[in-house]
Amino acid sequence: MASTDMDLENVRQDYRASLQELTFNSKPIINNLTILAQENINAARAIVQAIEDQIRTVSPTQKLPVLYLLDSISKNVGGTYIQLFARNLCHTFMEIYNVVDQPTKQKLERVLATWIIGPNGAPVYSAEVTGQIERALMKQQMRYQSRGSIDGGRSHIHINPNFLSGAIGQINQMNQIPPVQQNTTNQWVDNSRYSNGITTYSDTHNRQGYYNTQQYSSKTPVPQLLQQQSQVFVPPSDQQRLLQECRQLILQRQQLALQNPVVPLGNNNTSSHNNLLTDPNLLVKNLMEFGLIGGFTPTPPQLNGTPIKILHVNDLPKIQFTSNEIQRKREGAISILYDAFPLQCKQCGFRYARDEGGKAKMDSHLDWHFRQNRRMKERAKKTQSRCWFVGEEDWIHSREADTKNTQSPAFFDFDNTNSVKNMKNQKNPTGSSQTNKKDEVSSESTVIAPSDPEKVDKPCPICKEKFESFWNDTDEEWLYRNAVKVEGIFYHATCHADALKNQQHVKRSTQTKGSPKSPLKGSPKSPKSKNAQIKSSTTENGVLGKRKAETPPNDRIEMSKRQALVS
Amino acid sequence: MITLSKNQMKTTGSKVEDVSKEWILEPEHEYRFEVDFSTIVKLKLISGTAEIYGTEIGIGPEYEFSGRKIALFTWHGTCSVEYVANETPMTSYLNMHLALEQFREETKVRDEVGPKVLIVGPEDVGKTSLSKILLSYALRQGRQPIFVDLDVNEGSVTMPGTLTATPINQIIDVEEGFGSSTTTLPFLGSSMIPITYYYGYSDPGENVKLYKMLTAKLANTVKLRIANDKDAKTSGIVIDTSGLIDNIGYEIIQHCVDCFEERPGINVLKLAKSGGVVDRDKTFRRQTQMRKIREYFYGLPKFELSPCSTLISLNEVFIYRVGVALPIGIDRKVSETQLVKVEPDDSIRHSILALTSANSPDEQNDHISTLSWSFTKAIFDNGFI
Repeated sequence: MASTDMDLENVRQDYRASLQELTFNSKPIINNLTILAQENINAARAIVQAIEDQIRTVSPTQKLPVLYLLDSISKNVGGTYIQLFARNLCHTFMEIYNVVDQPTKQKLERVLATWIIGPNGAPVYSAEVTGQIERALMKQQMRYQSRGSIDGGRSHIHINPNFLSGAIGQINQMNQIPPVQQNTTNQWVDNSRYSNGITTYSDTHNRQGYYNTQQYSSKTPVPQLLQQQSQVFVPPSDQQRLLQECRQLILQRQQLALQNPVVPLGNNNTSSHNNLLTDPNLLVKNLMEFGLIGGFTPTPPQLNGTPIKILHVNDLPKIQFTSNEIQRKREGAISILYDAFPLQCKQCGFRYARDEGGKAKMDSHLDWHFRQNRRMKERAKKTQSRCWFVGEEDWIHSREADTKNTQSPAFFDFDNTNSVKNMKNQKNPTGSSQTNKKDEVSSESTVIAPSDPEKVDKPCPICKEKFESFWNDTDEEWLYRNAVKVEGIFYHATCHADALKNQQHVKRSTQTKGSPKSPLKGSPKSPKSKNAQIKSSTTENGVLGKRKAETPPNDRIEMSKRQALVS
Repeated sequence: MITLSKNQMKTTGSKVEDVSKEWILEPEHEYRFEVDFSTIVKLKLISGTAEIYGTEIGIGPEYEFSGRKIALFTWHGTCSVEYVANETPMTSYLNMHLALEQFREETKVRDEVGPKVLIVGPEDVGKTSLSKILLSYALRQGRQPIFVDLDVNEGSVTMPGTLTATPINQIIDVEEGFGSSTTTLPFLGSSMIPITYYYGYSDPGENVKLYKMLTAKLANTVKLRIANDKDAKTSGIVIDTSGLIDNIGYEIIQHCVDCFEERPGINVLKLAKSGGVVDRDKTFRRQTQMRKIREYFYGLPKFELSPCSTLISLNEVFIYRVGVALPIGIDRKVSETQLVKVEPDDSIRHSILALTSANSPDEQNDHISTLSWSFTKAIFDNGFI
């Protein structure tokens, strides 16, 4: 492994050294470097990296020759190189495009055009890659366009329409499609250029066989239509924007079609396209419906027909943990966070999916809000303190996924000092006063009555008497008075406490290691050291001492779990 | 379109100024503002969507901020025409989230532990904000990530000076930073249950050995939880660290990595710092710490707490201190993590003590004693002398 890495690194270094010569457009050097690349196709990765680095680092004037090299390798060597370059091609291309001057930009665009339709008619790079670049280019132009309009709607813009015209020229030649009518009078120049862009775009895809736009691109003079429309409907200041929007719409349609290449658009769709394009009123109406132009409520998640809607991460291509990948903008990705979860809580803005599970979660979430709000109102009545944090074991095992159970995370009742004192007392358990207190405490203990009909009438297994149930307003639950729940079984709190006490008593007096068989699962079973006495009483205090009427329901569940854990 | 109304109330002396203003944000723009400790700013979203550190805010309710530096961000804008905005690094943060989410999907299938993200960097670069964003996004995706806070200076979740881990399963309260309100407010229904280890200094460098030991303990606890919790397992962990990048810092970071990661292969990714990150000076930090401590005891204006005061006889409590300076001649290495009993006197007045559930804190064995003490049950003010 190490040696191949070394080799790769060597090739990269060598190639980089050779690349230094390529400071101007020289065919022999490019040829030479292409041959070098072919010879070292095993080290394609290193060479691609060297070229990409070179493009990134050299001065703007020297970038184009390197791109020519890239182009040359792609066309003459191909294979692995295509795949490797494709990964970063859009980035690389735009990196050059953004820094070079106007003539160079045109040259770049010509290169791009040859990628879409290669020397032998087949695309050099897949439509996916070139489409990405095209979109980036258009976006770039759009930005200029919008800046232009901010600057007072000047008709002169800094884009290079020649590319599109040039490209379309080529394409048209190859396709034998008659050039689209161009209305190049005075201020509409830019618009028509734009429209050319649209035609180019549809033609491109037409060639790929994805989308049959033949009809409207050739039969319907789009530029005319668009101008006609902008003249008819909008004040001049909005023209640019509207045009962008039209373009956007058409792009969207195409992208939608691209997303579902298996389902070719039928005749109906095509005709609706034609309608859409021939009837300006309809177009505007459609645009309104798509929410692309004014007069709509701007809540994006409700937008239908948003160009790309990615609702699940698995729909996205794999994102590598590299700087480039992380920086790149992904169209439509934000809908993973928004559109995928259309149900929104009005109170806090949290979103849920519109499916069974999502609705249920939303309901319990709203319940939670309701309870919370009511508690807030009631807070004046009683003072609250922060509750204890949980212990390691509890934390590891605590689950609060279900919002229903989040009524209160209070694990310990903290309305008096008992719990604190008990904690202190754990260290030196003494005397009977504590025992008395314990009894008194345990008789106040309550547990939520089971809803399971089988369990409802079950008596306490120790005294065989039934439980007394009552309605608790604070918790909104039926509770059992004087009860504890240990591992799913209900006991009278007093019975349980007595049983525990007796058990310990037995242990203490006999000092036997094996514990007597006990009906109580929660009791300590095999004391390992003389510490056991202290520990077991700890259990008792720890559990019973904190059990109070005000402790909310799920605490008790946790508590019983806790008890089980402690013992 | 997103419209905001900002209502600023300035209390200067007895005078109360009330200024209201409306803002309209373009897509992918961030609205940043700083609020003094003496000022309250109320923020209301009128239309559109917006999020604060990844947590989406609702239309209608008013959000109150005081003593905070806030950045409100919107993805959606006036219309669907998008343009590339490099003004905020939110795109890369979103991509980061998406990459993590893909990772989660993968690990879910293979039933492995999800992504573990360790966020490192110097102070004031937005580490905690980034953790918030990543956690918040994960939560919105229906995940339950675990947030591990190793930043002892800030104490985002509980108190300054603690090492904390908490599962994030409920919307992060935008008004109160990370989690102050998410610490278990009784009866308030917040379900955030943190586990806390008390470190006691605001700088990991002050007792590196102890810090490392606690990190290891925390990592272990988190691992155990993840082994038990399916949701947390796929969702993974986000670890926020102290802004330490000197020698000790690297040592600590290395240690964190060793503690939390069992798998070989780590991806290191550099993310851009947001232009909106503001430097917080010492006073601001101190004020934040003070507020955190106050909040622990007294709650928030929205939900006040009254600390329980109780009289405890001094011979009922055992107070220990970790790593006190010992006379020369005794190996300092050992003492750094050892518990030393402190006789209660005036020196502990006005200090914060951590309460543990230890049954026998003075067991000789160093290991056992630390095991028991380091777990914080509650922290309370020393008001009993």
